[in-house]
Amino acid sequence: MYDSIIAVMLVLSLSPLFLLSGLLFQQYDYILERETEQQLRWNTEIAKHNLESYIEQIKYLLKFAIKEYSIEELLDQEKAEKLFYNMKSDYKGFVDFGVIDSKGEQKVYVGPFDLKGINYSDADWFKKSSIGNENISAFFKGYRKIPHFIVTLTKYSKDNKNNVVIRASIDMQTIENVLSSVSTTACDDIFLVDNTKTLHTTSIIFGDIENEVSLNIYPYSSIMMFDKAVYDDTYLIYTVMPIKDTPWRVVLVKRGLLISKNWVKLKEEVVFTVFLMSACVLVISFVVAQKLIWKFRESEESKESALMAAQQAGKLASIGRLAAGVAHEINNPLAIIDQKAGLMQDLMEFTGDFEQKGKFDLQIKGIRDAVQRCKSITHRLLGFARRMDISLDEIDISSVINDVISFIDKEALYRQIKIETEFSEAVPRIFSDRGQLQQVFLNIINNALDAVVENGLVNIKTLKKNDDFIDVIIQDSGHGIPPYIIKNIFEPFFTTKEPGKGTGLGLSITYGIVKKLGGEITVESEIGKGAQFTITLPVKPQQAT
Amino acid sequence: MFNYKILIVDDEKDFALTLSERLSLRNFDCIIATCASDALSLIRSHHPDLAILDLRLEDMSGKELISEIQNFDPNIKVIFLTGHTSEEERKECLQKGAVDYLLKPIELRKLVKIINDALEVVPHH
Repeated sequence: MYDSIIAVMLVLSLSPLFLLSGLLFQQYDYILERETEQQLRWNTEIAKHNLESYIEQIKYLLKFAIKEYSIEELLDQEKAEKLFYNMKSDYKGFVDFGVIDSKGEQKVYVGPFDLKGINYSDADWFKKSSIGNENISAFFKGYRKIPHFIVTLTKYSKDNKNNVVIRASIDMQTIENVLSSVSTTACDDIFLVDNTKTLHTTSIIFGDIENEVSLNIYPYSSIMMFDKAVYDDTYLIYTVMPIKDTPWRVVLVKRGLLISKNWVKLKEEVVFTVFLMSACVLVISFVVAQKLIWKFRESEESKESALMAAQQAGKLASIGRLAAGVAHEINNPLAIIDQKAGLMQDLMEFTGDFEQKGKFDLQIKGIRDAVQRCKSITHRLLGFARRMDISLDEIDISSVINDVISFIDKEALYRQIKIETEFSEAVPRIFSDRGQLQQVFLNIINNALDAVVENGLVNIKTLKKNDDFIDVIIQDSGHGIPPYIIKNIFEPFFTTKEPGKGTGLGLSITYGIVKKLGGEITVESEIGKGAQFTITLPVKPQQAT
Repeated sequence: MFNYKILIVDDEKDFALTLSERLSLRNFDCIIATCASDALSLIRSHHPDLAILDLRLEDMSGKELISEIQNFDPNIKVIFLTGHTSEEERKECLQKGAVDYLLKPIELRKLVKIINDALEVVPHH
C-alpha cells in the first residue's frame, strides 16, 4: 500500500512538471530557431550589402575610366597602363585590364599574363557586353588558371561603330575577403554559388570552388530565402540571397542552432528547477505517504482498540453474570457446610469435655473460617449483580470523594501516606448514584494506598472534561503496574495480592459500576512512577452501557 | 416455659435439618418442610410464630408462599433466607411484609438476634 501511494503521488505531481518542462523545451527550440534565422537574415543582408557595394565601387572606377578617357586614349597602351596602375593602387584586387575592340580583339592588355591580341568574339561576356552596357562574369580558371571574375563596360563611339569594351579582372580572393568580414558567430559557413549550385568561393562545408552545393538555392528567387537541410548528418539552416548584377547568390549556413549564452543559462535553470522540484516532490511524497500510512494505522488501531474495549466490556459483563450465577449455586451448599460446622460446634459446647476436644474445636473453626472466606467471595459476586441497580441524585463529586477520604483517613495517617485533593471549581454537580460512586472511589483509593509505601502520595483531582463529562483522576506514587497486569486489571478474580488477601473483584466491580453509570474508567501506569486511574462520568444520566 | 415455634422451609433438606437442630439447641421449637405444600399444611396444623423461607421452592416461590401465610395469619413473622439475591427481589419481599431478607450462609448468632427482634416486637399471643 505504501509503495502504491508513493507511486500515485509521484505520477500525479511529476507528470505535470515534466509535461511543462517538455513544452518549455519545445518552445525554447522554436524560439532558438527563430533567433538563429533572424541572425542569419541580418548577416545575409550585411554580406549582400558588402558585396554589392564592393562591386559598385569597381564599376564606379571603370565608369570613371570610360567617362574620362576617349576611345583613342583607351586604345593607347601607355595610357591604359597608367590607368590600370591608378586603379590597382585603389583596389588591390585588380589582376589585369584590357580594351577590346568591336570585333572582339583585345587591343590593349595590362597585367601579368600575355593576353594581348586574343580574340574574345565568341566569349559569353563579350556577347553580353555588346548588348548591355555593363556586365559581370565569373571564371574559375580561364586562360590564366586562377579563379577570377571580370567586369566589363562598353564605351560607345559617336557613330556606334567603333565601340570598345573595357574589361577588368579581379581576383576571387578579394571577394572571399569581403565575405569573411561577416560575423563568424552568426554563421558557420559563407560562400557564393551560381544558379547551377556551383561554388564560386571556397566553403567550409562543401569544399573547393567548382564543387556542387547540395542545398536548394532557389535559382529564380529575387529575394532572400530561408531553409533547413540535413547534410552529412548535420542539421543546417541557411539563407540564400541573390547579389544584384552578378551571377552569384550568397549563402550563409549555420550548423545546428544558434546557442546564445542566455539560452544555455535558461536551459540550465530549467533543468536545475525540474531536478529540484522533482527532489522536493519526492521528499514530500515520501513524507505525506508516511503520514497517510501512519493515519491509516492509527485509525485501524483506534478501531481495533475500540473493538477490544467493546469485547472487554462484553467479556466482563458475561463473566460477571457467570460469577453471580456460580455464587448463587455455591451459597446453598456453603450454607449447609456452615450450618453443619456450626451444629458440630454447638454440640461440642453442649457436651462435656472429651479427648482431643480442643483439636476438634480448632478443626471446626478452620472449616468455618474457610466458609467465611467463600461467603465473602460469593457475597461480593452477588453484590456485583446487585449493584447494577442504581438510583440517581444530583451530587457534588468532591463531597463524595471527601466522604470516602474520611473512611480511610486514619489508615493513611497511620501509614504516613499523604492524600492530596485538587477539586476544580469548573466541575458541575452531576446526576449519579452517590453510594455506587463511594464504592468506586473507595476501591480505587484503597488500591492506591496498597500500592504506595510509607511517605507516599495519593493525589485526587477533579476536572471538567467538556460540557457533558467530568474526570476524576486518582494518582499514586506507588510501584506502578506492569503492562501484562494492566491488560487484565478489570477482570473478575484477577488479583496480584497473595491468596486470601484479595478476591480480585474490587476493580471489576468498580468497572461494572462506572459502566453502569454511563462512564469510563481507564488506567495508565509506568513502572516505578505509580499509576493513574481516570474515571470519566457523565454530567447528566444517559443510556447505560 | 414455652418455646417459640419456627417453621423452616428449604428445598435443601440437609440445611433445614441442621438449622432446625441448631435452633432447637437455642430453645426454639422447629418444624421443617422442603416444599410449599408441606409448609402450608404444617402452618395449619402447628401454627408457627415465625417462618424462615427459601426463595425458590419446587412447587411455589417464596413470594407466593409469604402471601399464603399472611392470608392464613398475618401475625406469623417471615424471614427470607436464600442463596439467591437481587435488589428487586429483596425490595419485593420486604414490601410483602417479610421481617428481613438474608443471604446464605448466615451466622447463626445474627439469625437468632433477628428472630428474637422479630418475635419480641409483637409478643406471642
